Amino acid sequence: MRIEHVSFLLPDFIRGSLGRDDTARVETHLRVCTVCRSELEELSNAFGSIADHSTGDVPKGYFPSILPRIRERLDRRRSTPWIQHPLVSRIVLPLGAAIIVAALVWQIPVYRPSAGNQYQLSAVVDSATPEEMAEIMQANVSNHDLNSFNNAIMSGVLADERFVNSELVREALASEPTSPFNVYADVSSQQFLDDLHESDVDDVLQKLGTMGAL
Amino acid sequence: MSDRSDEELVRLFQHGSESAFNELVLRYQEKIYWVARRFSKSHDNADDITQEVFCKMYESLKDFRGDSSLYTWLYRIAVNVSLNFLRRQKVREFLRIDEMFEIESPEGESPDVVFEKNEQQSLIEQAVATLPEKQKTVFVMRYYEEMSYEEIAAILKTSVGGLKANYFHATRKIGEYIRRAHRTR
Ligand SMILES: [Zn+2]
Repeated sequence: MRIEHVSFLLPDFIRGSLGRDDTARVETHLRVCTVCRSELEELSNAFGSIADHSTGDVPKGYFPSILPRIRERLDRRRSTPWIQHPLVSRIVLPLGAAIIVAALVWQIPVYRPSAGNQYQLSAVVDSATPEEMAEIMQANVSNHDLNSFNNAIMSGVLADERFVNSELVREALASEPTSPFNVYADVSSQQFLDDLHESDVDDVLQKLGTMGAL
Repeated sequence: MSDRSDEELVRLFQHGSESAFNELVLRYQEKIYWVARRFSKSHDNADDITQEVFCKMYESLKDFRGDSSLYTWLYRIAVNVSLNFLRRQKVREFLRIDEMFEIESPEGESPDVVFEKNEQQSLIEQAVATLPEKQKTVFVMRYYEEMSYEEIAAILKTSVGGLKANYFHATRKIGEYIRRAHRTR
């Protein structure tokens, strides 16, 4: 006969958050099962050491500083209404992201720490949609000011005819009165990144996952 | 701070009161910060997530209809923003952009400093960070927030089945992590 262990009930049993029926069931089972008894001991120790170790500290005066910075962040977003423009979210941002990735892949491969990754990265770039590229870049440039990428973008891949002649770029250039790249270049990465769609991150991760990259 | 209810403050905000928003931030900032901190293992990450959560609150509070309590609603946003943050971080780590731009990065990123940062991280934070996403989420919600499995399932949009197993495995792994860490010190 197969014994039904109560392992998964033990954490709540230890912390006293189990209902009366389940508590009785666990107690009865523990009397006859050495496996679950040693599990109980191990988990009790685990909870003990979790309780002994508090989460890290918060810098002094931190909490009063949050509200003003949230206000700043909101103001910053409001002051760049162009980011709401459908053209921007549909074409310029994803395209810009794709260009940055391309710049990274094709212009400065020497800095890459591992050649294996580079191959995978190129494959990702080749197979991803502009939206996915945007997500990848959103994940990647968020710590950097976008301006630091400008030179690479402007002097490097923009000259690549694959991009200059692409339908997307032509459409973007034709319908935006000033060059979208100028607008794009003015914005710090954080602002531009904040506004992109989030759900695609999963897809990118999945894609990287199926490629065995993660 | 006034003792006006959440509902009242939400209504005031929906009618244009900015100070009502401020009051809600002050009311919930610590709670949300700790949710973020437990997910994201460092103060800087938690700070970023916290700000983002309240910006999202600002942008979508006009649509809040009170189907759940404000905190539950806010909590859900906090979990989503935290998980998204972690996913992005994963992609970022894969592409290792930070290393690529080592030359331009400020001195603050030298290996010594990174090491010190890790030292400042509590052992619990390090341990939680090693868990798979689902186990991490369930552990934080169940252990720290003491939420019911039904509430957790609702927020994660999954079924209750399996959550207890996630909690069990998470607890065990954290225990093991701490034990190993003590042995090597
Ligand atoms: Zn048993």
